[in-house]
Amino acid sequence: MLILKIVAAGPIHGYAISQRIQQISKDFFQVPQGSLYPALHRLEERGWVEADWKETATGREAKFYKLTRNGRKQLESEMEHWEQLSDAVALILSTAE
Amino acid sequence: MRWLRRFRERALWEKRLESELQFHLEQQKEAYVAAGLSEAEARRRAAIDFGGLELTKEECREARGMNVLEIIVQDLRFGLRMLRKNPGFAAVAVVALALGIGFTTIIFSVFYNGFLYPFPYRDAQRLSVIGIVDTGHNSERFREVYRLDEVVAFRTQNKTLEDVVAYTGWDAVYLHQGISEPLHGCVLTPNAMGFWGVPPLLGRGLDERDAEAGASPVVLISYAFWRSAFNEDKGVLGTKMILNKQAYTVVGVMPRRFGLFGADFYAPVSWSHPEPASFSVDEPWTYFFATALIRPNVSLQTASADLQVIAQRLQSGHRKDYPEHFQMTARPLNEVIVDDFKQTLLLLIAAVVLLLLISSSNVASLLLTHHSARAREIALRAALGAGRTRLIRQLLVESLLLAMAGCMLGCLLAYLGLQVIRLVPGVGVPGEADMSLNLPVLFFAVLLSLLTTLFFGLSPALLAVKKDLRTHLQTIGGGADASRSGVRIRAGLVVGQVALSMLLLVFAGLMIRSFFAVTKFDPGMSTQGLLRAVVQFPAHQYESIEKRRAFSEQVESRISTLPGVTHMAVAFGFPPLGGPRTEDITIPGKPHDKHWDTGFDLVNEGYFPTVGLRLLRGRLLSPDDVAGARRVAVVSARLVKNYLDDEDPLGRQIKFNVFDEEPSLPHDAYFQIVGVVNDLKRFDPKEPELLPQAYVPYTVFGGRDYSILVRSVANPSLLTNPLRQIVADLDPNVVVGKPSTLEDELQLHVFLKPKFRLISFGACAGIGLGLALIGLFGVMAYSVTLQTHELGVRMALGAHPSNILTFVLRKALLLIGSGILLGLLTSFFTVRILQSQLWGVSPFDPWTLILAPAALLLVGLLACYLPARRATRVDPMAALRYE
Repeated sequence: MLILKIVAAGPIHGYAISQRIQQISKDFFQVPQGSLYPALHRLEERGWVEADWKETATGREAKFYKLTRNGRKQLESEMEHWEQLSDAVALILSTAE
Repeated sequence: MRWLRRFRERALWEKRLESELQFHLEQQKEAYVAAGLSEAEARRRAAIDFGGLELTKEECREARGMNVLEIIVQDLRFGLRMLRKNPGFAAVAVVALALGIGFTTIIFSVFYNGFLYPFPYRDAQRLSVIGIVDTGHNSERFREVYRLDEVVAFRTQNKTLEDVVAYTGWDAVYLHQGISEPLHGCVLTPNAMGFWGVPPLLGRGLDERDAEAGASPVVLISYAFWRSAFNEDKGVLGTKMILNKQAYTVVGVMPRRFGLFGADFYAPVSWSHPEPASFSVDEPWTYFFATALIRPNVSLQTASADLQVIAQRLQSGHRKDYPEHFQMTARPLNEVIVDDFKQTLLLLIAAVVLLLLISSSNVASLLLTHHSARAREIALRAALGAGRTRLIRQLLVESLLLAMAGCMLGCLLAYLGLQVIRLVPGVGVPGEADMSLNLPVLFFAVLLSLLTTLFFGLSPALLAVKKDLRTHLQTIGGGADASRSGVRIRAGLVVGQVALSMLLLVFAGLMIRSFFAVTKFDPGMSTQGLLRAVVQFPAHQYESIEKRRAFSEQVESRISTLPGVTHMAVAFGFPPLGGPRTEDITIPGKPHDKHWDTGFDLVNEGYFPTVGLRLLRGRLLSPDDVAGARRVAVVSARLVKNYLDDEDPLGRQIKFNVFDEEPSLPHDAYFQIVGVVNDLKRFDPKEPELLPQAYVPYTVFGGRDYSILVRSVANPSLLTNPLRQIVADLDPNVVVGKPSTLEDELQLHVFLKPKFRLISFGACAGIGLGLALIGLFGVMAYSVTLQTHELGVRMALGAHPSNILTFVLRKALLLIGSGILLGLLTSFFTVRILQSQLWGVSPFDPWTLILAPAALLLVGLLACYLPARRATRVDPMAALRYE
């Protein structure tokens, strides 16, 4: 979901995604950067993201990922699901006091 | 075909993945460089941040998902790579498998095609020979031949048979380009072609009309005769053959496999063919063999009972043709032709099974060694996150690759082996048998090998995978306990292998000794330079003994002018292969209860020098004895010893009881013994005792044909054509039967089977020994590797290399020794079954039982010497550091 959310911002390549994750989570997730790629490929295989080979700003070929229509739907449903879940958790936490 | 397209796109995808990940690394590195790190340090940090590159790739591949084809190709590639890393292991395993598959298939194919289903006939399983057994007389076979009216009765009155065919031999004289040649023919009832169900190769078969009275005479010729007499000329159809002075038209050629009766030609005979009024050379067909095609799902017993009812009716009309109490029998056709060679093949099957055991235990032991050597690798890969199923799959593929290679080589071996066997002239196998590859057997052998390989290939893998990874990683590398049990299993396998090859060696050793006993066999005469030919006189000529004697003398005077010829004789038997015999003799003053079995021969005066018999007492037969048909006899030393108690034999009277049963021999005739000659041993393994022998003038015999023996110092087969020519010059109507030399006869009837046994058992033993040695070598090499540490410590503590050598060899000796003991013990219990296959050698032949273990011990120790030598070269420091 995290990755989908980042990719939703527009065509972006793998390295940039990993930088974004680190940046956003403020190094909260201590994962090897490499493990991002299997996840990306899984998403691609499921048809939620698609990829294109384009030139970067520095003139190098890189694989840019962007969200597909299906991916957007998936992201929305996951967000919804997550919100419900976190609402429920917050509710339990607040009433249990 | 989406999966296929994906498969093709795979290479591109891989390249893209590579560049995508490289791009990431580059970016990260540049970021570090920008932050002020050195190029190398930046690269290192980038790699650390990224984590395992290959692992990531692998996970990406998994994420993408692989289809079946990709998985197979990848596993195959991996398997091949693993096998290439151990070419020795792969080669030995493949060869062991191939030998197992190849040999089993060859032997079982020979057995199946040679003995179970050797015939080309339709429904051969349901064919049986009709016979009469004399139940009142020890259930002896009474006869298996019938008059045609009997066969017609069987054919028309039965309820259980589809059809009955009758056939018999017809030895006709074939006049061709002025030379008379005897041919072996066969006459068949008109239903024969449909009955046997074998269509002719060329032309047409015989039918009802050919057998009718007044039909133009026709014959079918056999493939062998077509080849030898007509050189496979397709224009043979319509040719006239002069048989017994009558012209027969050749209407067809039978295929190669049709060899009924071993005949040169086949002629039709009508069902109503009358019984010949008197015995005549031209039409000797009185009795016929009868073969029945039993209806499907009818047992032999039911068919026999059915025939019994018919035969009971026939018996009432012809009392003398049937025993008082008898039983009709239907015997399967293939059972009729089986002889002692079947036992050879059964033994050979046993030997091959032993071989198969050795080779499969070798494969098992190899795989075990291989996998324990790889246990560390497997554990490492499991630790690095390789999936268990994936590991198993890869090991499976590797074993499969091995098995497939072995199977392919095995099939090739089986095919080539059978081609070789086909070249061997019929070793007791019916001539009609076709030694083709038996596909079900091959399939079975292949399946068995596949399963063996997979089982042994996979079980260590499962074990290795299942084991706790940590202990596994720890234990491997030293002389660990975990691997000790593996060594024990392998040691057990090797002891088994040595024992089995010991057994095979003993078998082969006995066969070798037996073969040499046969070839060294001294019959008491020279077996070289002797030629025999049967002389057949035409009907109604040469009726008087004087004429026949004059003829032989004319032949002798001419043949003795040929270079090399030293003697010629008239005789009936062919010493030392055999000859006529009588069950009993009568000697006045020597009453006896038992039968006095005696061989005899009807000879002329030239017989003794021709054969090379030495006179011991009295005199030989003189020309006057022979010319005057005097009742005198020369006997062998053994006859004097056995039946005359070594008393002076000269002047004693002797009567050959079998003469009384033959119309053309003098009845109640006593012969006076005039001389004693040395004994001749017969080439017959079943008759170890010397047979007492007597020789009387052939002129006492009123019958017509005789055979002539020619002794030459040159190659006697060169005499064949001159002899034919001499006889044709004297009288073209006299027929010379196929002349044969004693050496050829010995080769064919005496030496061939021992030679076949020698070669086949020798090959089995040799291969078995080789495989056992490989197994021994493997186990010793492996255990030396495992003990490297221990040996290093010993050497560090001051052990001399020779001590180490003894230490290792003592272990080897223990393995070999227990294997040999086990093998010898087994052979003590099993060699008895070889008895019938042996010739002049005891199954407990001391030479074999001493030399075979000694040889095995020697080569076994040699096989262990290399690993032992390696053990002495262990560098103590390296061995200790190895830990």
